[in-house]
Amino acid sequence: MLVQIPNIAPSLAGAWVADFQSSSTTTITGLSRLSPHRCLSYPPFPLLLFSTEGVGFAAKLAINKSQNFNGVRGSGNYRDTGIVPSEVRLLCDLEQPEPTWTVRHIGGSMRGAGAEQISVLVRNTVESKASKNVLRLFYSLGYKLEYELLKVGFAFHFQRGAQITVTVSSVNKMLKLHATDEAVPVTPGIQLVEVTAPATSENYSEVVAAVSSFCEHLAPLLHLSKPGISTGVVPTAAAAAASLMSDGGGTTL
Amino acid sequence: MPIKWVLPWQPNAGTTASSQIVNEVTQCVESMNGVKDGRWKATLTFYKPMLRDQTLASEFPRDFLGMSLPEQPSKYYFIIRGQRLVLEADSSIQTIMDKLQSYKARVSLNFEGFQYQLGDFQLRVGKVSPTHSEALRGIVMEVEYLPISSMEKSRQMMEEFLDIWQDALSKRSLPGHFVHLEPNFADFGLGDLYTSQHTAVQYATVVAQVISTVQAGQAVRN
Repeated sequence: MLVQIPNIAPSLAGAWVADFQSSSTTTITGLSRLSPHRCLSYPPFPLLLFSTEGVGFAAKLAINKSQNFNGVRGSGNYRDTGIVPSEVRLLCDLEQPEPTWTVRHIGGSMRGAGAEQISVLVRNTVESKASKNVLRLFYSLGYKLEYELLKVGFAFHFQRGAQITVTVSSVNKMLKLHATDEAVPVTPGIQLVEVTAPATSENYSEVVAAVSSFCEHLAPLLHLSKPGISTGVVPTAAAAAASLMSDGGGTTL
Repeated sequence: MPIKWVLPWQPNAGTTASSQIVNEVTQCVESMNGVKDGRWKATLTFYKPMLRDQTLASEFPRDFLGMSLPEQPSKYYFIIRGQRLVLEADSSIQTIMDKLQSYKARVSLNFEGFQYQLGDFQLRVGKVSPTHSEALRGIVMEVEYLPISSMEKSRQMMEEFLDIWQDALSKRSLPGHFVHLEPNFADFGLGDLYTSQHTAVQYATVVAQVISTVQAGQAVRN
């Protein structure tokens, strides 16, 4: 189970937030424009930064089932998994000496009164490493490629009440299939910040609290929101800008 | 990893595989001073597409197989033989396929029996039977040569061993023999160094032979 808070927060005066959904199977919610000289400045609270990784590339090929399969679309497919449809993604990490592939199934979000009240999105996620011809396998099984994205950025992992991962990345689209060299930013100058943490059905409340607490610390630099909820222009943008301008220099990644 | 040949039992015309033959084969291994080394089990699953419109079935692969191997407990293998495609994935890929609900397991076959150490070789003799049935559908044998991973470098050694083995087995006058069906691994994108993907491809080939043998036997009886 992945506790996912898509985020965005305009952190500079005059910054703006773009909030859009690309398709029914994927959501990119909110992008914050960050100064090219200050990617993300961490507030002065104790963080154990276990590692930083250069996520050079993570092409996301969202594969959707052919319309011919049973239960692909329609409310009947959602069952108890909420209104967010499930999707399968093929991720290729190009930063490795040999590109490595991961299949990730993201289920519908948790639903119910409890889900409405919490500030994060809770979704079931299953991952599997796979050998390099996984895309060909899915094609052979009748799946259709829905979209392809190139994400370039960094991932941070640390422990703060939960195993939290923060990724800061630019999202790029490829004008031709698999042409990573010709990728263009979906929103130039704007990067996506995502905060996620794994959880089980037994401990997700604690993980939700940990992630929420962490996200609160990021304010006023970042204002995080649930996917699908527009953040608009953050009221604290002016305060954030003032804070940054008074800071002698940002902490670069 | 060591090179391995997977050999299905080819019964003589008008005969079928039986537990008696399995017993004779294992006795032959033991007569060659093979040391019993425990049990083994592999499972192969046939998947079928879950289609709204069954008339479209021909557009989807009919030979989509999944395989679990005892030497790779955390892995799972998919094979689409007609497309010369083999995939290695974590075993969690089965959970993903269940959630996607696009393909469903139709029938599973178990390959299970005892394994033996015989010098530099490891032999496995196994029955082929449906998962929830004791009915024997075939017999397979794995011959693994432990020192070498290169298929070409080990070929002569494997062939010589197989000659010795077939000669020993022939003395028991069994109604059939083991055959070596070597798929074209290069077609599947596999190289000379042996891997579990090679094993999965061999089993996909073997199971096709087992099925055709069973069907031929049923046709004769009918």
